[in-house]
Amino acid sequence: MRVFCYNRFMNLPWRLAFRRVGEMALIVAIGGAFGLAANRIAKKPLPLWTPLPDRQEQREPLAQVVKDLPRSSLPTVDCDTLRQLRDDPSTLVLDARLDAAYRQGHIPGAVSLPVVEFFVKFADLRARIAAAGLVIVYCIDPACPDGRSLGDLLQAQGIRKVMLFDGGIEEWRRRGYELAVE
Amino acid sequence: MSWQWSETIAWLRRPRVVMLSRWVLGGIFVWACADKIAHPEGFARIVAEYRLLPARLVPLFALTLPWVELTAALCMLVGLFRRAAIWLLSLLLLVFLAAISINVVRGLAFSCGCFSVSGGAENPWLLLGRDLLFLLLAAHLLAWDFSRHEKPSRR
Repeated sequence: MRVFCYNRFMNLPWRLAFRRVGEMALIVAIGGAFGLAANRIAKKPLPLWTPLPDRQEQREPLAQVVKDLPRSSLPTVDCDTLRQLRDDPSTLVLDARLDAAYRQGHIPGAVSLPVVEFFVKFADLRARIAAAGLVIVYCIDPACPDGRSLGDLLQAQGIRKVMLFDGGIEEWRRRGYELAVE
Repeated sequence: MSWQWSETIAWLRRPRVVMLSRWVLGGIFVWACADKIAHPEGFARIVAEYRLLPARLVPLFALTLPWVELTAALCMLVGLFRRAAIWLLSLLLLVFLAAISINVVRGLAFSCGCFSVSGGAENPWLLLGRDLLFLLLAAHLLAWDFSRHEKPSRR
């Protein structure tokens, strides 16, 4: 009886299935080992069991940089004036919020330049910003400091014609104007 | 009509066609994992944006997944544990399809991270269509890619 059951079991496809699962587990183990080894020898290894730092935490060093900048004048613009200026092709509107917020809804024609990623993304946008006749930056609302921070950073880079739309996306939304979604 | 089907199936079973499918699928996965291996933090941020994994598991997943893809693709191409590698790649494609579908239903705009970690939000329907094509390739291999020693015997 035992021999009968053993023979029936070993003839079933289960044996093949177990073998396949074992081989798949081996491939995953080998690949995973390579990945962890590569992380260990990397110049900037990713901490394994630690959640990625929140954007808010990354903002602190940037806040120090902005605080040390000379506070040059940053004129503000209201919503109606922004709507008129936006039609001018030489005006560039920059969104200082995080990328995810930008994609979920932004002022039509605005370009995303998150203030927390300024030093990474400014290089790509430098030519376009320098060519603009006027740059208008905005954030969420008057309480959000990112718009002013972005304006100050741009001025520190030599971009003089910068204005701040103080009301932010919340005022734009409140007025019922259309939002662009990526 | 049935005559055309059998011709198609006969063509699909040809060793050279199966080999071409194998090289295409393997090449796709090798290409796909290159940027992810080079930029693990960028890929980890994309994985985090999917909001499907606990935050603590995101770095481990982002570090190991590209290497698992690479290992499986190379195994499939060189013929080591080929069937298992094809099964694994098929499973990965199903997981990717599920992840993209969940975020489509949620209405999130997200970057796929499939081939590059620096891209912006992509059209999710194009992503789904592309992954389905890859899954068809994998299904082709599952159906007809057997090595000499693995060919199922007729009893």
